[in-house]
Amino acid sequence: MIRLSQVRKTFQREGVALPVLSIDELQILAGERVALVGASGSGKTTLLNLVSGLVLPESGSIEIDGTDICQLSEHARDRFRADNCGCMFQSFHLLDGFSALENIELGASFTGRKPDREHVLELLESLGLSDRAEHYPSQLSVGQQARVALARALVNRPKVVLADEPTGALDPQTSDSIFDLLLTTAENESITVICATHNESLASRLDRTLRVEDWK
Amino acid sequence: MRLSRIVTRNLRRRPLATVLTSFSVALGVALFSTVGAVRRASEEGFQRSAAICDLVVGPKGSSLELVLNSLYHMGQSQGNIPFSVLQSLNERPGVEWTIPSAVGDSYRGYRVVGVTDELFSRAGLSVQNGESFSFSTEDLIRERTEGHHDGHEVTPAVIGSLVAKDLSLGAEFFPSHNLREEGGAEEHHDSPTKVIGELAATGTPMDRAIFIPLSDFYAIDGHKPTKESSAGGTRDPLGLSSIFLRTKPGFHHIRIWRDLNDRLDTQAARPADQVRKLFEIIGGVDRALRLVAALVMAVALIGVLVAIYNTMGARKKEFAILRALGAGRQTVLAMVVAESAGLAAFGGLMGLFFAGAGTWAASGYLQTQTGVLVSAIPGLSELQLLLGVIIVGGLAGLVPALSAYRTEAAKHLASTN
Ligand SMILES: Nc1ncnc2c1ncn2[C@@H]1O[C@H](COP(=O)(O)OP(=O)(O)OP(=O)(O)O)[C@@H](O)[C@H]1O
Ligand SMILES: [Mg+2]
Repeated sequence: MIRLSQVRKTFQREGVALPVLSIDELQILAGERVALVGASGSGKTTLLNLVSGLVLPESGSIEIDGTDICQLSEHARDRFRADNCGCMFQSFHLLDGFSALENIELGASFTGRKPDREHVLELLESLGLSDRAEHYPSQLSVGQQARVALARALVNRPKVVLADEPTGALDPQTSDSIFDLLLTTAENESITVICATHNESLASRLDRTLRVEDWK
Repeated sequence: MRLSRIVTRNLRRRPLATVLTSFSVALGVALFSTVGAVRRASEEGFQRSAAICDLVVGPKGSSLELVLNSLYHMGQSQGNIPFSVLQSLNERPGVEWTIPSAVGDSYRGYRVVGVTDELFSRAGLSVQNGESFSFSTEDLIRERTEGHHDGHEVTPAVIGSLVAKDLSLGAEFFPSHNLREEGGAEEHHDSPTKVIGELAATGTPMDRAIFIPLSDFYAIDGHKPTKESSAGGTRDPLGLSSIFLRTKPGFHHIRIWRDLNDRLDTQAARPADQVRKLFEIIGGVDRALRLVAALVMAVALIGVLVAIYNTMGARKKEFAILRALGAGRQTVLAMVVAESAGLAAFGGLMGLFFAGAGTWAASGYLQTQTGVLVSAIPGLSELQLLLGVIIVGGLAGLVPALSAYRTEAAKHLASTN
């Protein structure tokens, strides 16, 4: 379960404080799949970064399965993210110099666990990437890149997947199929999903929709 | 994926920069290690020859030149010492042994040295093929006191291992009465010389010499006494160019040394001291070369730093992605340091390879020129150099690594593509 209480996040821009998020209480159940909607610049990405621990709030607590990540040292927070979070981005953010397989393996490179080749190959198989393992991102179609990004987010068997407009760069059909893959995997493995999106119809396929505007 | 693999992937992503920067490191390392190897090998080779005897006795003049000429077959002879010096030395109780020698002839650039057969055993020279000649210092003294000897019918010669390239066992040749390499040499057609033995290689200048019995040396045309040559002086053709001398342990050494230097017509030089003196002179050049090589390495390692630093701006997103995947700041720092150390290591290895290949290619020439054998196989000092280069490379990598360390992940993840 993810629980945010009394979280305040403000950015400083040219000396002016810019309040972005003010969340008194938010709970997301284990295995729950929630959509995060809101206008551009409303704070969706910021919330995802708070949950992943890449950004710290000024105050409040962010608990993931009982661990308040705000109380962890930066080093411990990085490790916690490596072990428990999977991240997906709108532009996929695959690394150029690494093959599809290597990009996926990178997703499990910073955990304390042993590399699980078997699991990587299963993911490739289930995402229809088996024959693309040795290809570099530039040699992959956008849809294939999205699948590699999804595999990378899942490879460390995360408790939570944080997806930032994961299908924003795709045509509706591909977008649907990637989304299906994300949702079915999450369902099968009881992974919590927080997915920021502008697409209301995609949002409606999830268990619940959170509106960032409610936290102003 | 292990960090080492991520690092090699990143280096392979920029092949040109990787090859060029490590190549410049390689040049510095190759230069540094070659200068060191040649210097070490030549000093070792020289000291090995210097250890043959305690003192070299010769005419007054430069003691360094005396040692170079008599033990290393370089430069010109400074003249002769009277034969009587040998006799009186042999009668002194403090003298362990003496080996007289005469120089001045050559064959195709190889020095022909008149010696007595004690040289072979005293200098650790063993005959590999054929046989040695038998002519001892005692024989020489007896000949001189009993009357003149005109040498063998055919002069027997024992050749150093490098001479074997130009002369084979059984070959007959005519040495010339000068030291010029080729041309213009008047040959002594009256006395043929025949190779009867070939010495095993020693890696010292002895490998480039042709040894003949001293008595035969005097028989060679041009060494016979003439009216102008004043017997007993430094131009005495029946004198000796030098005497190798071993003293008995204790106070004898210093006494004999002092007595010989007090004489008006002789000096005694300690070869070990002279070699040290020579390498002190060469040492300046050697240090200057090593300084230049060290500067080349320093510039190359700064090049590594700059090359990596220049990529930092473009790689902020890469670091941000790795952070999002759970990499800590220290991991990102270590990655960049390892890239820099890796470039240095690659360059260092390449440099040692160049140095090895270069030394191997040059060793033949160096050996024929100086008789010193330079090993192309890297030793402990090369490994220390490599380690040092890797450490400095890693330290240089700290500069860009700190910039990677400071990357704020959230900020750089926001940008698309
Ligand atoms: N590092 C930062 N420094 C200053 N301001 C920031 C920073 N990151 C985000 N902001 C500001 O915080 C607000 C929320 O940004 P955020 O990226 O979370 O919005 P978003 O909902 O993800 O928007 P989009 O839909 O365009 O991705 C914006 O006004 C943005 O300008
Ligand atoms: Mg956003």
